[in-house]
Amino acid sequence: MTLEQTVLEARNLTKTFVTRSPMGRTVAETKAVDQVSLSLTAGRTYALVGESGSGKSTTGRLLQGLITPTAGEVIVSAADGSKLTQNTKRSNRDVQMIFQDPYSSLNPRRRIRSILEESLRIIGEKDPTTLRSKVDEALSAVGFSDEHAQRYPHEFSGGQRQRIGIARALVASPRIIICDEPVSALDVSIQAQILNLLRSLQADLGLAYLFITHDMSVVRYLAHRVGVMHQGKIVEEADTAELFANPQHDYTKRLLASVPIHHPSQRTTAKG
Amino acid sequence: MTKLLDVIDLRTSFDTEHGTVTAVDGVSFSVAQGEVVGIVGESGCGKSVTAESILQLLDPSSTRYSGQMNFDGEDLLTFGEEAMRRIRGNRIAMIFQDPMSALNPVFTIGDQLTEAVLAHRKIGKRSARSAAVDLLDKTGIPEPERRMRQYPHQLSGGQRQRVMIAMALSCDPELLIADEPTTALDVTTQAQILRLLIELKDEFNAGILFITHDLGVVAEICDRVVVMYLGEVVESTDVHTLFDNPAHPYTRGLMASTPDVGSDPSADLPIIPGSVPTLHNVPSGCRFADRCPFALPECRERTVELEVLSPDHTSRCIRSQELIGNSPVKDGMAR
Ligand SMILES: Nc1ncnc2c1ncn2[C@@H]1O[C@H](COP(=O)(O)OP(=O)(O)OP(=O)(O)O)[C@@H](O)[C@H]1O
Ligand SMILES: Nc1ncnc2c1ncn2[C@@H]1O[C@H](COP(=O)(O)OP(=O)(O)OP(=O)(O)O)[C@@H](O)[C@H]1O
Ligand code: SF4
Ligand SMILES: [Mg+2]
Ligand SMILES: [Mg+2]
Repeated sequence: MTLEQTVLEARNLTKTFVTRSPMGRTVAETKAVDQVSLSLTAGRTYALVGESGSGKSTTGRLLQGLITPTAGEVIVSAADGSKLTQNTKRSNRDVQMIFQDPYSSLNPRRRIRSILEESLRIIGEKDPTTLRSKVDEALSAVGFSDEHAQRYPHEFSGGQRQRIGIARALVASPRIIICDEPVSALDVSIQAQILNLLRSLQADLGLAYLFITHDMSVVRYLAHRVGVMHQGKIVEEADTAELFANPQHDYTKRLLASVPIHHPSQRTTAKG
Repeated sequence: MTKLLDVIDLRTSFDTEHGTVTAVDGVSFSVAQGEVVGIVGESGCGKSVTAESILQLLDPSSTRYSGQMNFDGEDLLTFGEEAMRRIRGNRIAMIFQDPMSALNPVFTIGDQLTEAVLAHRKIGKRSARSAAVDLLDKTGIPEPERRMRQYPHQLSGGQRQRVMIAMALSCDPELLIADEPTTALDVTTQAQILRLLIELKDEFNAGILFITHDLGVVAEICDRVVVMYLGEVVESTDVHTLFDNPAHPYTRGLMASTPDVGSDPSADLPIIPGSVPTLHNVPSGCRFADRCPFALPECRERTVELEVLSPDHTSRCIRSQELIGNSPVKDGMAR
């Protein structure tokens, strides 16, 4: 695996959502993503930050190929060096996604093992022994055992479901993972375990991450490059150290200034 | 302060294919009027099940509750479904960890929010609608008027979370249960939501049960804190004591593993080694022993009870007395 190699490129991506009235009349148009260009590099993490509603999840879904762009294109370089344009909704084994909302992304009627196996079947894996061992490997990577594999999603807590989502993305051995707030629902300890895990997987396998988050301490820990989104546009892009040292855009400055407090005596909202 | 909610020895068990599991095991705590009580603990410790038990929202066919949950002097566990329905979303409101479960996908935000307002205020439809827009606006959602006409799937994660907050606040509840209400939000929006909750508390003297894994949020808003581990309360005290003098090794571990912008980005983040055991493998003796840097052989030998360290400080650890007062930071945590 050569590092520093561009594995995904987005060019002038635009997505306009049209809301229609029940009669089919267009009532509103939202330009959720507006002329976004970015590239993902093997072995590197690109963090996408920006306030709620700025278009981060929509960008992630466009890169994954879950939704089609109104304009622009996504080009994924396959392992053999060939390039393909991601303009269909066809699933691409190279790009996996960890969803912001772990609940609605897991089929409630399937056991965890079957949910993970499905990810492998989609990409053509049929051998039962391989299925079994790959699922076991992915589960143990997120701290789960065979016992968990037998259970249904509703038997898990919020954070546990998020880890299942992570295992599901890992199991297909992708080269690119789109992570949409993968750790915001997790407590610090598991958050740290997952971040350490994502980082070591990246070092071992040369994975490229697009990492959507609102947590600047996570950005600093994981990201090589950062894009700041505002109203559908990337308004600032820089290497992580540079962005922290020298933020340009107002929103970036505000994000960096609003550090969470560590002690009740630092309260800003109310008296004790 | 009057006790608004007094939970005594709550036990919640599920019948599963693999036997009965007890997710909440003898939990006691109380919330007074005008007080914010935090529940913290790692993923899977039983925070959401505790919250959902108060409103008895879990699947009745497989869930069993025992203990007492006195709300305004009456035990909610003796209430029938009919009586509980009158309590939910009325005197007690809940903000769910999962916004999609609380929003109906086939109705617009406006329909749902107006409905919620109408259910509690004797006002006309028009004023209810404008009250709904007001509520949305308070949560900081841009273009609230337009959001009213949208469906849940057309909103971003953080926007959905704020709609749900508006929904819970629409009834001016006496008790608000907020389960990770700000996880999907950036710090600026989060601060706005926390201010909104404090307003509710100050204006209506409401009690708030605030579930979070974020100690920064705890420091920001909670008066008292209950730390849970594997279905049990392991420490409980006021927020200042918790940060200054945490007694339980688990609490200290949670504090040490909080990332901050100042830490070395090239080093691995400190973690509490191991993970929460499953409910099928609850250890005998201290439940935290396998992960505890202070564990002694006797920790595994008998059930560890909550020990009262001072009138408002309890800890479930045989070494609490020696640990309290020592600096909590980084002790014995794996890197
Ligand atoms: N299916 C849809 N139809 C209409 N509008 C949509 C749709 N999906 C998203 N939007 C709108 O597009 C904008 C961007 O949404 P997106 O989910 O990408 O935001 P985000 O940056 O991920 O925010 P958050 O941090 O809150 O998750 C929002 O204003 C949202 O309301
Ligand atoms: N319906 C159920 N059947 C069986 N086990 C369940 C059920 N619901 C929850 N559990 C188990 O109960 C435990 C506590 O879950 P709970 O949702 O309360 O955790 P939590 O503290 O809220 O965690 P998180 O921070 O991840 O949301 C978990 O181990 C979970 O797997
Ligand atoms: S009782 Fe023993 S094992 Fe349990 S928390 Fe205390 S020192 Fe650790
Ligand atoms: Mg999003
Ligand atoms: Mg929960």
